Parts: sequence; structure tokens; C-alpha cells
Amino acid sequence: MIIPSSDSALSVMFRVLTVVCTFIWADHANAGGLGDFLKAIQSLDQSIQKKVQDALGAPEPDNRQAQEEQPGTKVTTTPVTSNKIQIKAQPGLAKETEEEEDDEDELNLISSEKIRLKPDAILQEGVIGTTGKSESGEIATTGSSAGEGNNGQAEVEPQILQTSDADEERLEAEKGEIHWRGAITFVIRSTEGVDSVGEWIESYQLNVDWIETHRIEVRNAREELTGVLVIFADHDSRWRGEVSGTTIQQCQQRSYQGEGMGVKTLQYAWTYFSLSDDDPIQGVMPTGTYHVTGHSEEAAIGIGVYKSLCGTPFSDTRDWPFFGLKLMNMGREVWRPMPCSTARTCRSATFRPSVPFISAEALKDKLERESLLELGLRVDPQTRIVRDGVMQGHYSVPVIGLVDARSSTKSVDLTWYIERVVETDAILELAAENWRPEHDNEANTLSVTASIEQPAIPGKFRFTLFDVTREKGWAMNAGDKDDDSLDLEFVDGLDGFLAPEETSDGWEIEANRAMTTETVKIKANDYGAWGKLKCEVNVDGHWWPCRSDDGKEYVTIPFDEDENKIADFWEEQEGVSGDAAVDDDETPEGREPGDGFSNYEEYRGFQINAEWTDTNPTEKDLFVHNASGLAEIEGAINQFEIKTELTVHKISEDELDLASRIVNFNRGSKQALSRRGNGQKGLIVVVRQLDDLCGEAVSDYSTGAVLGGPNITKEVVIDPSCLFDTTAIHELGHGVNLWHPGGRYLDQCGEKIIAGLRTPYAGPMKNYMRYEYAGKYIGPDNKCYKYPSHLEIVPSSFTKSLRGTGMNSGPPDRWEYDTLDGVNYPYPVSADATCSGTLIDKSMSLNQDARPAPGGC
Amino acid sequence: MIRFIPASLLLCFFGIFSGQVVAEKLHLAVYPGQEPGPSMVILSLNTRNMETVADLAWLDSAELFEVAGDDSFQLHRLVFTVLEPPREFDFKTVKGIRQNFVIKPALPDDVEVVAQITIEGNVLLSNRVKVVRSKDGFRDAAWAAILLKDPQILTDIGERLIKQQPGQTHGYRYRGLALEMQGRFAEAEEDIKIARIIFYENNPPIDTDGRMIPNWEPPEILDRALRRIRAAQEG
Repeated sequence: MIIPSSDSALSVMFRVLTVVCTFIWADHANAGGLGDFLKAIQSLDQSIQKKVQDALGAPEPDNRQAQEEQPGTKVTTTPVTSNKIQIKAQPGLAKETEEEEDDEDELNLISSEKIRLKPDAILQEGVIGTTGKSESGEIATTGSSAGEGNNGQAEVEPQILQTSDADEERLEAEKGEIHWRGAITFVIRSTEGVDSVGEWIESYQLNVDWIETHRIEVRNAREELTGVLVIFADHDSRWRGEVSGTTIQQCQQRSYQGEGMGVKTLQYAWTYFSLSDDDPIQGVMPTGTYHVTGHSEEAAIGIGVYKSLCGTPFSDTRDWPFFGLKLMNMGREVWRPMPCSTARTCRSATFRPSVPFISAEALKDKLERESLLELGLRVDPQTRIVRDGVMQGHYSVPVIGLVDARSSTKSVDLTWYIERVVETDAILELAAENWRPEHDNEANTLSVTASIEQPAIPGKFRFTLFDVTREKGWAMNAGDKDDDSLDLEFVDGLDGFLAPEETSDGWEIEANRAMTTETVKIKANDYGAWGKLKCEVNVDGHWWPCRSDDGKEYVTIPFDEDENKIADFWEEQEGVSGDAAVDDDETPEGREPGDGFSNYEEYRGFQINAEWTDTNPTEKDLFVHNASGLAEIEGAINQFEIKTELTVHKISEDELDLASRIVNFNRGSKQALSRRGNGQKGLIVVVRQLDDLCGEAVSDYSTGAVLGGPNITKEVVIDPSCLFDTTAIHELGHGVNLWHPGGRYLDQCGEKIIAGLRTPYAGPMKNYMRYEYAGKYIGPDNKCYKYPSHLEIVPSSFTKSLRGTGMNSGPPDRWEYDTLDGVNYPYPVSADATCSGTLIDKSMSLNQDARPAPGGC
Repeated sequence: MIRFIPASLLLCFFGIFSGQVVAEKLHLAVYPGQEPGPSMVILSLNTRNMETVADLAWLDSAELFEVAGDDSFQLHRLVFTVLEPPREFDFKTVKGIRQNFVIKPALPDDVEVVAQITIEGNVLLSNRVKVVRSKDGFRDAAWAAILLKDPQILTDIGERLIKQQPGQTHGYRYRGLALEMQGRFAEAEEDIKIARIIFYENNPPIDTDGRMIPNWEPPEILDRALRRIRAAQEG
């Protein structure tokens, strides 16, 4: 056996191959020649694409058909034998001869609605495909073109991917929409088989602008809103792609060139946002899960050139359908809502359209079933999750199932970064400025509304009352002392809301529906109730805080800009502001300002004779309990109020703490600085037999003081035999720290107590605090005289002057003849008062404890 | 005779009561007295609204009840006598009409008393008062005697107290007041003066430092008695 040399063997093999190729060529020439052969290859690729399409399941027509059916579509096919087409060595470029320029008049859209050409270097060199105008007259080009220079594409925009001024205006007009914007790099690498070298690459750059078009509510079995499926659509996306590459397999060389651009990027896309911690499908489809499938019709357009490297040289050129965006997959496809154009149809793609939401449990079942079956082609097998409003990922995988008969391979390389670009802007309106809390008044609820201003899409609202006061009772002197429950709460049973839930410092109420505006009603349980209200809205799984008009993330209830716990309108009405603990009532004038109640306490108010009222923070208030109930005492208290100019409140026994006499026994927040947390006491007037005295202001000696204001005076006791005179007024005077006009005790002239200089008989005659009817007095000559009782007058006022009047008036050392007994008497009897403590405008005091005695007393 | 009237019926009437007088206050004060003496009850209709015209005849319909035990819904009608006709009072900002009632024997301790009047067919209830006597029982008896102007009881109480508590003022005061009622002014003055002396001894106006006690008050009841007696003596 003769073994040929390697050279001869190669020579033989070459001859055989040439013969085979000749036969094949001849065969194909008979049956259509090389063109049919290329068609066979094209058909193979189309069958592969069909596989992909079947796997994806999208019901769109075949890509090639779509091209063919596109009105005005022109597919340029040029025989390889023609010398009019020259394929340059530079990958991806083809030139069209001048003879083809006539065709440029027929500008056609291929598949994109709006295609704008970027005059980059490649395009300057020539683009395979056709050029067309959109309906709006813009230059539109896609597919292949040929020719030198810019091909007459004079109107191409310099930067197609940049935002123009017009775009800015459009974006402004589109406020309220949610967009996802970002970039995608998508590469498909293809080989021809194991005995082939080289590859051809489809490379796509996408600048996507997707818009959220539909939202489908997902509710659990209790019909509580648990999540929302959001459907996307292209809004202003752009893609550009190019194809190039050459493979050589034995005597065959195949070159692929293509390019294209378009505005469709999505076949369908969705994301799921969970809105509840109790979401049944969280386990199978976590919040933020998304899936994107690229548009099935969008791909670069180009040509495939077959060239025989053996035997008689020949070549053939065909339009070539590339895979394009249909292989672009992000995220495992666990749910397919398409095709649909409305929330209803999207929903009905999976579930009964009659139900206005998707059942979470049913969806869960479906997801779990499909998860087990692993239906369809899954280019991206991973579950992808939106994190912090971003879709981001990368993968590089072989496309399983797309291996053709010649063992060709394909792989996909995808990188994406897409941001949700519009934040939810929700506004929480301020509380009504003229609203103040009232206890248990169903008619006095406060409505507060929050709205999603941007984008105007529904969300699930949650309102939170926090920092809510827990004042005891419901007014300063009313309600259970042990009740420290929250002073503000949401009105229960609000339409569209779940039941409110109590928190450590307030309440929380969550809507049971998605709305763009929600209103909550708040009721108060206390006249001093105060708190903060914030709102959040869950749009697509993310809780966005509401903002108030003043830029805060909460509003105060009631309206209270300085947050001093007093409604601002009340402060304005009463002429006070600032620290709510201040106690500086100015009128009537006295030793010091204040009445023992802070501004907040006066705002919170008191129960007076079974009726609530707030009190004036600029006028001094005194609380008096007439324990006797007698009209005489009531009359005396009224007279006392008139004469002192104090605001005197007559309260019943349950409107102060009888044991301690403290009126503001339910004090808590913003207690009066003047009282240092000790509370303010009231006066209690009792009618009781005193044996010899008409009346007595009994001091609480534990205070260390003998005389003082209400915080010192334990009890005002009036003997029942002295109800008809001014005794009660006199003793009430002691109860507000008014003193006798003099402190000198004289027990001369055979009497236990007599009048004279600096005695309690001195000063203005009408002074309620003055002693009356002494038996005798000592004159300026230091001798005893009969007291001129006929000159006594009935007291009628508290005094602001020490100067004596009547028998006490000057000038000194004067003698007057008394016609009653025919004797001359020296005057004044007791002269001017000496104790400044008797002066109402200098000594009257309500809010102090023990203080040093005033001078001259 | 004691009749039983459901209190709820009264409250029902009160609840539907309308008109100007509804804002007025029927106030009951009880001076318990002491057996064998009577109790005194003073019923006042205070008209806070000064434009309200109170009719003295309204008090003609007055009824007094003892609330039966713990059952607030059972009332026992009390029998009383009236010594003088109702009268008007005017304390400037408060005016009204008033009448005293005598209940004999004296009401027992701890019972609750309530009164009602009927005005133009509408019932007005008073506050409820619980009978509570002072620790020193003589005070209640003495005050009832003063209100009833009964010098005999007052003298008896005074003399008993003078014997039992000679260092206290009340025996002399009560006897002095009884003597004043009887027109025995000199004796009355004597007793009141003694009471004053005792008072000053027991209630010195100055403290241990010799300073006058700021809220010390003179024995005005005694002083007034003296002034009345002297005025009476002077004719």
C-alpha cells in the first residue's frame, strides 16, 4: 500500500473538496444557486429565533414577517456578483454605490416609531439599511445603507441621547409620572459551530426611559391591600446596535454587518412591591422583584455575506435578521402579565377581570406552580430585586436551547443600571388654625388631609400620631386623676382605614386602599391635648414621608408653630406667646404677676360649676369653693371679686382636691414656673360656729407662714351669725395676702384692744382689712379716749393707699368737738395705715408660698 | 305621717323642667340641733339671674324628705313646722327668697335630707344635705336655740357649760345671749365681758415675740353683743 506524502494527501483532499464544492454549487445553482444555500442558513437562524420566541411565549408575529409587513419597508438585496456593493474590510461597514442613491428618496420606517441618527464615525462611513422620515418629518434611519459620506442625512441630530430643551419642557409636563431611566449594554455573541473559527457580535446600547403605566392591586383573603404589581412601558427609550463579525468554516466565510437604532426596548416588564408585612407572596416574590423582556421586534438590520473560499470564487449577500433585543432578559420571569394595555386587561391576563384586584393567595399558588415547572426559556435565571429604587445587574450566560444543527453557540452578556427617577412628594396639610382640642366632643374632630402631589399615583397612607400628651384627667381639675391615657386619637371606623393601633406615644392608622389623597379625623380626649401627626405613603413598597407646608415631616395637633403645646390661635387671641409654663398674669396689680397657673394650664382650662372654661392668661384667676353653699357667702365672694378685680371662679367640691385644696390637681405638662411643680391651691370658705370670732382665715402653719395667698390659707371660716356683713370679704382678703393696716397691739385704757397709731384700725376707713369699733383709743396726747363709733363706716373696698380717712385723716393733733357727748376729741384716731401689706396693689398675691412679712405690719 | 314618693319621678320632672327658673338654685341648709330640741332647715331659692322675679309663694309648696337609707330612690316625707313666713334676701349679687323650717324631734345623725318646691307644675329639687353634728353637741343645740330665739334652752346650755368648762367662753356667751334675749342687759353685759376676758387669755393677739399676729381677729361676736347691749341700755 502506497502511503501518500502529506503534500500529496493535501493535494488530493483539495481536489476532492473542489469537486464537492463544484457539485454543491452546481446543485444550488440549479435550484437557485448560492442564494438558496444562504436562504437555508437564514432559515436555520430563523428557526432558532422561533425557538426563542416560543420559549418566551410572546404572541407577536415573526420578526421577519413584521419587517415584511411593515408598510413601506424596503429590503435591499444585492447579488454578490454585482460589483455595486463593496464590502470594506472594516467590520460593520458597507458602502452603497452611487447607483443605489435613487433609493434614498424612498425613506421608510422599519420598525421604530422615531429613529434619529447620530452622525458618528461609523455612520459617516456608511450605514447598511434604509433611511426614512417619521410622520413628524424627522429624519429616520434604520437598517443598512450604503454610500460615501453622510449619505445626505443632513438633518441628523448631533446628540440623540442627550436631553434637549424641548425634552425638558416635556419632562416638566409629565410631572406625576414615574419613570425608570438608565442604561443597558447588551451583547450577543454567535459562532457557527465547532469547526468554525471567528464569531459575530451583536452589540446594543440602550438608554431607556420607561414609564409606569398600570398598577394592579394585590389583596389578601381579607381584601387588605398587600402589594401592587406595576407594569412598565417604553416612554422615551433609545437603542442603538451594531453587528459585525466573520466566521470561517472550511471553504466558507460568512461575514455579518448590521446596524440599527430604535425607540422600542420593552416587550413587557413589571415589578412587584409589597405593601404589607403580612404579604402572602413575599416568600415567592419578594418586594422589588422585577422582570424585563426586551422588545421582540427590535434588532439591528444588516446583511450576511457568504463567500466561498474554495474553487470558483463566488459570494452572496442577504439581508440578515439578527436576534436583537428579544434575548434581553432581566430577572427570572415568574409572572407574565402581557399582553395588556390597561390594569384590567393586565389583571385579566392572569386572573378574573371581574375582580378589581389580584388575589394574593391565588397569585402565590400560581407563582409556586410555575416555579416548580420552570416553564420556558430563562435567559436570566436569577430573581432580580429593585434595591433603593435601582434595577442593577450583570450576567453573561450561554443561551441554552439555541444550539443549531451545526452546533452553533450563542451567549448573552447583559449589564444594566436603571433608576427610578421620580420621588413621591406627599403633602400633609397643616391642622386648622382655629381648632383647639376639647374633651369628648364628637363634633369637634379635626380632619387632616394628605395628598400625593407627585407623582399623582395612588399609594397606601399611614398616619401616625406621636409625642401625644398623656395629661391626667381631661382638664386641670376634671377627669380621673389616674387616667393618663393618650389625649389624641384617630376617630375609629374611618372609611378606607384599618382600625387604629396604639403605640407607646400615640396611634397609628393605616389605609386599606391606595389613594392619592386621604383624610384622617382626630379627636381629643383632653382640653390640653397635643401631639404630632406624621404621614407616610407607600408607593410601590417604599414608604415616603409626607411633608407639611412648612417643610417638616409632621404637623402639630393643634396648630402650634412654636410647639409650646398651646394652639397658636389661642395665644394670639389671648395676647400671650412663648414659654407655656410662664405665669405672668398682670391684672389686677399685686405683689407679683401670676396666679399660680401657667399659660398652658389656663389654656387647658378648668371645670367650673360643671362647665368647662379656659381662663385668661393675662388676668389673675382665683378659685373659691363655697362649701356652705349659702347665698350670703356667694354674695360675699361676688363682692370680693368685684372689689379685688380678680377673676374669681366659684367651684364645687369635686372641682378641687379637698384634702390638698389644689385646683390643678391634674397638672402635668408645662406647670407654672412660679409654683415649681407644687400646684396652685384654691380657697375654701366654710360656715362654722367660731364661738367668739366672726371670721377667721386659718393658715396652714406647715408652710411656715401665718399669712399669705391661697397656698397659705387653709380655710376661710365664717361664723353663721356673721353672714350678713363684710366679714367674709375681710377674711377672703387675708386669703390673698392682704394684711391688717397696722400691726401695733394696744391693750391700755382698761380694754384688751384699742385703736391708735399704727393699729389695725388705721388708714382708709373703707378698707375691708381694717378693724372696726374699738372701745377706746389713745390720742396723740397719749391719753385714752372713747372711740367715736358714730364715725365708723361700713367697709366697701380694698385700698391702694395708706392714707387715713374719716376719723383717721389728718392733719395731726387736731381737736374736734363731739356734739354727742359735748367733749373735744383729738384726731386723727389711728391716722395713716402703716402696713403695706394692706395695699391691694402692693401685697395681693396668689402664687407664692411663705414670704417675709411686709414692712410696717 | 310618712309617705313614699319615688325619687326617680322627681328627677324626671326635674329633667324636663324648662324656663327661666331652671338656672336657679334651691339651696338647703340644715342645722341639726340636738334632742330634745328641734332641727332647723333653711331653704333658699337663689336667683343668680338678677332679673328673675322670685315669688315668695313658691316656698309654700316646699316639701322636705329624708332619703331612706342607701336607697336614693325612696324618700320619706318629713313633717315640719313654719314659724314665720318666707322672706326675700338681697346680697347684692345674689338675691332670692328663703324660709326656715323646724323639724322636731331633731333629725338623727347621718340621714340625708332633700327639699323640693313646685313652680308652675314643675318640680325643683334642692341639694342633698347629710346631717352631721359637731363633736361638741352643745354647739348644734345652741345654734338652733339662737335661730329659734329660745333663751331657755340657751340658758340651760350656757349654765351647763359654765359649770363644765369655766375656762371657755361659750358658756358665758350663750348665757349672755340668752339674757340679752330676755332683756336682762346688765347681766348679759357681765357675761359677755367675762367671755371677752377669757377670750383674750386664750387667744392673745401677740406672738411670743410680742408681735401682733397678722391674721388675729378680735372677738367680734362678743364685741357686737356688747355694742347691742350697750345700745339697748342707752335706749
